[in-house]
Amino acid sequence: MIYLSYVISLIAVYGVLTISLNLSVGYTGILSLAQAAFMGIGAYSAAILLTQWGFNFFTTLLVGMAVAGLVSWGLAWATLRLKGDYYVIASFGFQVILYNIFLNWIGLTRGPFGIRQIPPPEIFGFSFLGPQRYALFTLGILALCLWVARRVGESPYGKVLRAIREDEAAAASIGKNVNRYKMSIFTVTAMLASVGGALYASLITYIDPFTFTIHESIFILALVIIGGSGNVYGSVIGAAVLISLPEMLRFFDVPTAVASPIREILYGALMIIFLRLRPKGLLPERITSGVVR
Amino acid sequence: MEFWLFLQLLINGIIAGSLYALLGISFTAIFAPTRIFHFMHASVYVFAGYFLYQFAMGWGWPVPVSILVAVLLAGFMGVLAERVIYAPLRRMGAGSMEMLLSSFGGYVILQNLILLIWKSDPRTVKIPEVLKNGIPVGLLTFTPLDILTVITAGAALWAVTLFMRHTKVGKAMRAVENDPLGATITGIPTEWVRLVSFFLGSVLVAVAVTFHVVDKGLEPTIGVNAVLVATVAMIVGGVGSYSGAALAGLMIGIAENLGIWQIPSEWKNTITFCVLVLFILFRPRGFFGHRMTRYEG
Amino acid sequence: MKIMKAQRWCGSFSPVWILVMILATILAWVGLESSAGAQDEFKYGSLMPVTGPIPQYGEYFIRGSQLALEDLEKSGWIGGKKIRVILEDSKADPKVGLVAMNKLINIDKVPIVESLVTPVLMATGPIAMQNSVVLVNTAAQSVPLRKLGQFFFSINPLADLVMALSVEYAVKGMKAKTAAIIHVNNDYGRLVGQTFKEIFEKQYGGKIVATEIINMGETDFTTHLTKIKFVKADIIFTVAHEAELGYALKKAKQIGLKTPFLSGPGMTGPMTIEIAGDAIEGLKTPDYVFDPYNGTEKMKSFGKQYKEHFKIMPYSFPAFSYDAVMLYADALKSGARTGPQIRDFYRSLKGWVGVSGPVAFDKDGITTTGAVIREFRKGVFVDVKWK
Repeated sequence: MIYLSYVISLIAVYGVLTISLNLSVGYTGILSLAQAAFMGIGAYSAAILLTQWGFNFFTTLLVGMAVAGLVSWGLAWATLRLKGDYYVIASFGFQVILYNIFLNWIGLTRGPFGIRQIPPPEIFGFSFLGPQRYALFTLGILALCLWVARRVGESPYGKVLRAIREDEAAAASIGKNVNRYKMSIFTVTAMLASVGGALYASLITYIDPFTFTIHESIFILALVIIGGSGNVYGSVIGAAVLISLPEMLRFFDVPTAVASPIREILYGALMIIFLRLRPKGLLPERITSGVVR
Repeated sequence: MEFWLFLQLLINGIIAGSLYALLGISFTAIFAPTRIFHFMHASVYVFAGYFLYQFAMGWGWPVPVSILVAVLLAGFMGVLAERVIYAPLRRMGAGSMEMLLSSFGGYVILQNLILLIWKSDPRTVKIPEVLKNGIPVGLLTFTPLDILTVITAGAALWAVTLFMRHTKVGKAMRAVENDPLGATITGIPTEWVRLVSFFLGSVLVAVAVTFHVVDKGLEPTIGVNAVLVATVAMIVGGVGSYSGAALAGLMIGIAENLGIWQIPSEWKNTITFCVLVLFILFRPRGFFGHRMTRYEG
Repeated sequence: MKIMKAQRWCGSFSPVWILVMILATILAWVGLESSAGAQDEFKYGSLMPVTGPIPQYGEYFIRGSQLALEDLEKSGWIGGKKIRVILEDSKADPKVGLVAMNKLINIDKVPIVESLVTPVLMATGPIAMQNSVVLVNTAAQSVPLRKLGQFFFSINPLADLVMALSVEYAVKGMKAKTAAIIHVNNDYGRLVGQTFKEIFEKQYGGKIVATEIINMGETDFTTHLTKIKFVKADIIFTVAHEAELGYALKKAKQIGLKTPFLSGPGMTGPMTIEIAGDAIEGLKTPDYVFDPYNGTEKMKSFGKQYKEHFKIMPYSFPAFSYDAVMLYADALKSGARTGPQIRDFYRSLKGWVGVSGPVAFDKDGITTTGAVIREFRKGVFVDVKWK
């Protein structure tokens, strides 16, 4: 049960991360390679404030979201006006720069030595210590994210996002400030990613920079594609399948040395296959009034 | 004493920069005509290294033969990527986002294939020691291998420039880069040109990895860094300009090595990327880039 | 409710829901499953870097423990009940190690885990301590491990003892007044390097003239060694792993750097020799007492056994792993079954001699056996007589 709770928590964390990226990639068509960087911001905010300054977890969430929000707003402002490929390359560069900051600013993040013994969240004296409690906690946050994403998706704001994804010029021509929309949704993506990062930090109780690499960004991107861009429930299912796969293989006595690469090959292949054959992913976008994909 | 250190670091920088120049040229050869951000280039790079290892060390072939076959195989891998991954997507009308994502997917698959086949231990490829023994020149040292690296990079640049300017295929590549629609209309076989560009870029990157492997060994992780550097060199040099990419690669090598003199070496990568971001923001044309035509993104 | 809503979405997703159901069932089954494996065997947990940047250590463990199991089988196990090794891959990554340790303790319910790699031990140690599981170290050296807890034991000595010896040799044997340090960018590198520096400077008045930090798995030492070349250092002290050391030695020779190298213990292995070629000749290193060429009879016969199986002579680590398993077997023979009982058995160890040499633990659980200084000559490490 303990181990199962652990896996569930991990799925919930990646669910949050995938949903957040889906908002940018799936709904709005902004391809960002920097998701791991924002996850890292949230993780390190939580880890540093929890272990060194004894902050409350929820406060660290807010701090992480604020930092991620500010940074992403700045990044978006500077780069979203760039054309297609250049924006992606810029987010790539940003990801690498942030990774290097996590790795080398040892005074702040302890660099490659990592931050150990990160405590679980506490609220009003009740601690979420213990795998089962933490699983419930993360599931709760996941449900909240799902709700937020759905509201965004079904609102008029969401419709504009989709319009931007389909045809930016057309959206601009009816008077929508495209850049404002893009910047705002990107900021939301970054802030939710930082929430995911904070949850991750408390779950694993140890973080180091090596988690928050371009490789991780690509993985979350794959989860979005496989789950279905534009469909947040799909994001959760995609996360569930791909996270639990190596754990299941482990129980069939497949050594981790083999299980890990298999999981990766699978998601790489699925990503390609889904892009070709089933661009809608596992679960297609929900049909709401008027917008058909 | 400081002066000699500076000089040695400068030399080291030129040598490292030559490799980066090769990387930049290889990436430009693919990106400029096809506008595909071919992230799988990293996989081709690493695979070429493992091919070389397998032929030379695993199966005992003579090194020059191994290099030749590995380089050719890499070229074909590049062509395969275009045929199997990108072309079908293009026919479906997919945009650059789908191309890039598929490229990532392909990279992940190939990367893990390497882990399954060769595991993650570092490997080496043995070449005659004499190539690697330092030649002291006063207080400075460099090896015959280093000289070979610089010469090869220079030769590659020269060859590619000639190719682009004077052969039919090269000119076709430039035409496609400049105006793909116009090129198709005037009867240039664009699909074929794309294959050539992938072949060329992959061959060049395989040459680059050969130098890397014999000097610094082989590990599955070297691909991403290579693509990163190639990207920076290409953008800073100006997309479409081979001499620009080469020059930018050289400068990155020099900047990294001189930089380590004063700045702790951990920040090496960060410098490179800040340069990239600055260029993207303020001078996306790079050094010698062609003015952006209607074909951006 | 959700199912009805889902059915309102477009078409063919039902395979998806089937997938989800299967997944949920398997997860539930797996979760409810209690400790795997038959009840008529003893479990020995192990958390090793089988893949990742230093897979050779995973291999050392696999080989050493394999020989131990073979010998135990020949001698009839422990009253007929065999020992089963459960190996989890840590990839030398604390995050991965945490999950694996979790599984070993909560699902496999092992009373003992053998592991190595400082960052992994530091991260997983508290979990073992909390669950009264004995944690045995067979390679990591960092001094803070001393304080890991009452269930922690280390069969190899830690850096405090070994560095004291190394620095003494550096000063008295190599006549070094200044030194350059190259160390890996992780807990292990930094801490061992720090220990060396402190003893060198404070006790002997030496001066560290350069400190170069490299990444784990680094292969390009050109700039680091170039900088060291232009600085006056009597010796270069390196804290790294096998492959890294090999590249450093090779590059030093290439650029004509003549400063002698002093490496840390347990850093040289077959990979170092393969990569460095003849650049490794003359390398000085503190080493563990295990010597399959000129050591005790037990050591020599273990060396022979290893060579027959694996075609090369072993260094210390497989010997440590062999002894770790044998120690466990002896604990079982004495009747110990739980973590606390095994701990008590180890604490009271006297006069136990394994293939790696004598094994006894001090009050922190660290072995009392020290190290020696050796030099690499013509393919073998030979003891250096310097006192």
